[in-house]
Amino acid sequence: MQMAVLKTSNMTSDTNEIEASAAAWAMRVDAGALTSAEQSELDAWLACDARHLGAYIRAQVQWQNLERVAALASGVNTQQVVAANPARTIATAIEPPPFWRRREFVAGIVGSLGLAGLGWSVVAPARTVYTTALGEVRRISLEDGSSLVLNSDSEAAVTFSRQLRTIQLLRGEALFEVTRDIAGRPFVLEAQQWRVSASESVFSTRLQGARMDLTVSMGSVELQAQSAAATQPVVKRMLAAQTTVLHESAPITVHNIPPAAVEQRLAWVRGMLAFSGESLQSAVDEFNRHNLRKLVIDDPQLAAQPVVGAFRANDVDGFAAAVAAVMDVEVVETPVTLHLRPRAAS
Amino acid sequence: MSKKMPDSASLQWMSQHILPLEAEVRGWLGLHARTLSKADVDDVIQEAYARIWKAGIHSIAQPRAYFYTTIRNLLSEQARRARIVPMERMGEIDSLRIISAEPGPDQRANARQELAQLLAAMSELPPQCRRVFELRKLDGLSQRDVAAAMGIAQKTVEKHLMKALLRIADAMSGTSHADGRTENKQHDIRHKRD
Repeated sequence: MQMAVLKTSNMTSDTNEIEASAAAWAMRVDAGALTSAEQSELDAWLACDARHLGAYIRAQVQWQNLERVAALASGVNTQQVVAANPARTIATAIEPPPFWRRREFVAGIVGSLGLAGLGWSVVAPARTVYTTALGEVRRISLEDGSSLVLNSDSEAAVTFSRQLRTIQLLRGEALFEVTRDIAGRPFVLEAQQWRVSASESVFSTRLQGARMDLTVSMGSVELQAQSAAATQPVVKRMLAAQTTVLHESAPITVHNIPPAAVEQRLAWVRGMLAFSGESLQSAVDEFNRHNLRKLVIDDPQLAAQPVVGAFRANDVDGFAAAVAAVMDVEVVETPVTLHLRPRAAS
Repeated sequence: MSKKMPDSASLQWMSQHILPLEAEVRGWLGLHARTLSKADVDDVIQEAYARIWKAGIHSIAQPRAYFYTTIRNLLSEQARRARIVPMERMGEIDSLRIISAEPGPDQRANARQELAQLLAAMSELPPQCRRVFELRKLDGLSQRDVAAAMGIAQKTVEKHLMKALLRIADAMSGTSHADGRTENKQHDIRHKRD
């Protein structure tokens, strides 16, 4: 019995074959009770592949869901609405301008809600602020299917309105995985005086005082900076494997970097910190951004040594031990710090 | 007779707690499991529904976490069985662990949005198909009565409803077939060897 294995798709049509069969069966059942022959046929089909059962359940769930949504249409002259409006404008035909209430899902509303019950209240879109503690990396899934990953000690505010998907990076560092929106709303990141517009892409930004780093991992984005000198905002397009460092009103230069370098910059998303020759001091600074226990380097020459490798971001002891072994260093611990110093000559 | 006719309460639970997550899960797989073709994603979602159903909905305290964990388990099992696995797949499976443990924002459209989506989807159906759907779902006629009212065969009614279900459910869950995911032929060739 061939269970599901990643298989070659021979199908030229878009509709999944199993999904279609499941829908056919669901509608056969919807027509009325099955004959015993039909029931045996259905049982056999459901038993031979887990996907068949899953697709069948899913079709039933969708059909049930439509029951509920269809009930919302009572009181609406759907024929009139549908006939008079092309698909895209139906939303405006039955809705009051300009806002709608978000997150208003009423469970079990079957049959109990006419159009008047939906309300015509005008409520501003909700703004949600997410914050991470020191050492915490947090992934937040957004309602459009996009994701926001916040690095240690960071803060971002998400506001999804009817027309726009906006995230403000208030502090720290974040990765944005932006998907196309069903409703077609543009996506914008705002951070200090910069705006980043994206459609389907993955990019990260980091705020450090007046400086912002921006790296694009997939897709492309449009960076807009309000320059004090110019009357028009400066706009720059950035593609995958490109990075830039933004500082106040300095001109924007975009650099290409190898994919490995992009991965290194995003290692924090997987809870890692990766270095490829940066100084020990900058590696220590990174660890200190992610941990309560701080590393301190007691020797300036030691601080300049290059570090290569990938380490678990929360494993300060592990990193210190690796440095001790490779650079002939000793580690002296106090309650909240680890001091790194060259091993004394014996 | 085996329990193949799911009861209304269970279906309602799944339509409330699982169905609304599908768009999010598909979007997530689209970004994080790029070696999966659209057919692969459909497969894993179908299998996830089967597992969630078999687990018995009353034992699931956190539907969202359960959905993601199930997907991860399915991808891991497939990877273990397959002779050839794209190198990136291990990282993709691993990254499913970092899914936020928090409940996640309410993904569900509000009532007005849902109605708009339904009507928009209906407007794109061929006329007779749409009429059959209206009579059955909006006016509540049985399939038999729809056939009588429209003077068409019952089998035709069944076929129209099947088409309506496929199209409308897809439109409302955001799994638009016209949208973006291209079949990755190269990966499909790698999977040809069983």
